[in-house]
Amino acid sequence: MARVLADDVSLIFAGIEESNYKITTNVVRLYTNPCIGCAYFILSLSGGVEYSIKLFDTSGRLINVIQGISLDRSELIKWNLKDKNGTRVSGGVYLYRLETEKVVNTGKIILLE
Amino acid sequence: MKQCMILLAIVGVVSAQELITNGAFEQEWSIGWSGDSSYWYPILGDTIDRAADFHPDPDYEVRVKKYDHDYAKVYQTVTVPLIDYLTFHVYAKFYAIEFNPLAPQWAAASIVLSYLNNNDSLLGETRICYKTPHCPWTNSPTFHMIEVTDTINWSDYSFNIDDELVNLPGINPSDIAKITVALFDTTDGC
Repeated sequence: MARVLADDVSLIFAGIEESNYKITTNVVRLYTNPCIGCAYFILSLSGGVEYSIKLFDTSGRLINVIQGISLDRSELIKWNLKDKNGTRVSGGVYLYRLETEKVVNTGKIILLE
Repeated sequence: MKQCMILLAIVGVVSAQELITNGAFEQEWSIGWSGDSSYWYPILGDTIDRAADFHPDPDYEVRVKKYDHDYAKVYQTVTVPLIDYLTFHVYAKFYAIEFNPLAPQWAAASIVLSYLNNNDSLLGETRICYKTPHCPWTNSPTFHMIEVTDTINWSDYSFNIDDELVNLPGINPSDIAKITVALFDTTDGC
């Protein structure tokens, strides 16, 4: 007998489009927002850059930190919607702050239950 | 005179797109997915079903269960753009058992990514799987298994497709035009 159960199957394409844009220092975007189940940060840094993504609730309390070193291409960084104790956070509004040595980006996360 | 220059540049910007339809199974599984079986025997317990109580969270999950022999699967084929920027994720739980360990019968529960070319010809596969001891599956240049050992807990499985293709040297990444994702159970007499 064999049995497989599944949820949240995704195949995400984070591609490159050519567009006319002013040069900015935005290096992170959230996908999806609002989000359900998990949230992906789409990073667009050059390779080898140390970064941290700090996650806060609206009272300013730090609830989790994701750290890493960037690849030399765009990449998806997953937040499983858990705090640093491994507890899934409840629905609501959260804030993120991406920091590298040279860049700080902030944004809002809307989490649906 | 002071010259002001507005600098515009053509730069690459990231866009993200979910290619799987109804991957969270919040709609009936037949929306976006197809079902198939070579030998369907519901009286033995063969099942493809969707419910909210397979996992403690409040949303829906899908289960594929196969007894006796042959296979059952739920699958979806998507056309893929550049392989370099594809990330696969699934939250899943696997189980398989040989009811008679002395007999050379086997079972395997898996989530299969089948890489296809423009003509829908199979180039190779990645299988996230739990298999019983007599299962004959082995890795090859076009077949790579990510073997699961935990049959109790749900787990996240996630990888970039281009990273995974390092394990499939028999596939030319530029030939991949489509990927079929399948929840695939197969048994051989158990």
